[in-house]
Amino acid sequence: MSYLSYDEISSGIQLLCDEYSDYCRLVQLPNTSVETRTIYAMAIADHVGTDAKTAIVVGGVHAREWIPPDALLFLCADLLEARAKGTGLRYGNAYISKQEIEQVFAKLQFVVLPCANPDGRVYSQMVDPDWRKNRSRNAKPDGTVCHGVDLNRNFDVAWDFKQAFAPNSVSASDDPCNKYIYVGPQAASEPETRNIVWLLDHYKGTRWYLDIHSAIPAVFHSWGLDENQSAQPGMNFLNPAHDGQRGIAGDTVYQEFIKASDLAELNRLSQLMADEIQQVRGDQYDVSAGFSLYATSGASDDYAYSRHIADPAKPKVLGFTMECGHEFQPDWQEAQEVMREVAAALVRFAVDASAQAGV
Amino acid sequence: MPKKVKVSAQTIPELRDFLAGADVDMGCRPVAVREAGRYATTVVSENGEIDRLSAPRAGGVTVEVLEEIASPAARLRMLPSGNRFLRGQIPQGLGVKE
Ligand SMILES: [Zn+2]
Repeated sequence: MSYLSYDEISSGIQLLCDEYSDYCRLVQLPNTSVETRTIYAMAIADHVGTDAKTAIVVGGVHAREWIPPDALLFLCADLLEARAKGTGLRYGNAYISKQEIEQVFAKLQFVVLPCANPDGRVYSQMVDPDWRKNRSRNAKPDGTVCHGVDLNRNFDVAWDFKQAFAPNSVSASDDPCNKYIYVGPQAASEPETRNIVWLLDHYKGTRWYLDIHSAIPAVFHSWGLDENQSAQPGMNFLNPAHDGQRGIAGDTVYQEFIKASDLAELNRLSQLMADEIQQVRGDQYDVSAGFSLYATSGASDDYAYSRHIADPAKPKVLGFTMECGHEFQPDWQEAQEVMREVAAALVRFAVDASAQAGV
Repeated sequence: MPKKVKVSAQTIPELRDFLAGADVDMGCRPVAVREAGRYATTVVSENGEIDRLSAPRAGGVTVEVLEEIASPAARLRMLPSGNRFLRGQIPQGLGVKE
């Protein structure tokens, strides 16, 4: 075995939902990719539905991070097989009991999108293994064409970084030829971005959003926009009075507001995952808010959490980014170890989330 | 060959100023970690740029080469061809079902 191709990820998703049809519903995302590939997710639970208490898990946003899509497909295979056979799951020294697996299926819906950026995955595995973005076509006024938008700078949260942030404080670029961090022509311009927005809209019972990346290793939570503060609700990403002030480390002119109780819960769940990862083979993942060296604009974890602030009619979704492993493309032996860490963390997360009161 | 490089500085603004003019790949998410009272970040760059960044300068930024990264061709060679699930084999996870 080695890393999966995008065709294999698509086939694997369909095979799993066929084989375990009592517990898995195939979800076809509304938008094909820029290069017209069909994109699938899985809804996994004893009773799937749009209003069920849900955790959305996404992988493959960044193409060159080869581990997360495979990790998520294999996680789903493990969960479904364990549920069908009535077993627990072991990853190294991390163990989730049969009763905990049954609790997860009874009281939580996992919506898993293993590969959000199929065109990037294909390009990264066929042409340039350092490719990160999607494969949108960016035509410049002089007629030249560059490809790709960084999907994790394309979400509608402080997307207009030149307006929102202080100069030289944010990891973002408006240069369509920037290889890594081009934000796109407008917020949510990319079909792959809009698919994730659709998942958050469609599954109204969503309370958690986890975006799986690599490779630091760490578990991050909101905010990535600036350092957190819990004293001044008006000092937030929506307030134009603070345009141009965001993203400076160590200052108090601007810090992003977060409710103290939300911050405590984000930190608790991040630490829970890091602790479970350590059980697998002893690796230590850092836990912190996403902001440190630079701010990140338009990232999916912050977008998920920002939605209830931008629109109070929307439910609150706690956003996380897991940065798994130490390399984007380690050999397969090491990759499997990292996939076990990801799986153990997410199942432990699911056990905790399933025990929480309903939506 | 690209190399993984650790860049560290006394302060985050100093680190940002240094990286602003550098041709480096900052990975998935640019983070700085505290190490021995300094701020460090890990980036990937090519030999010529690493030589330029490593040149002696005023100020407290240090650049340390950590390891070589496998070439793009070597990484692509890890990948098999074909679809291993076409014959209907159900994907098997990596956990022990027990
Ligand atoms: Zn990433």
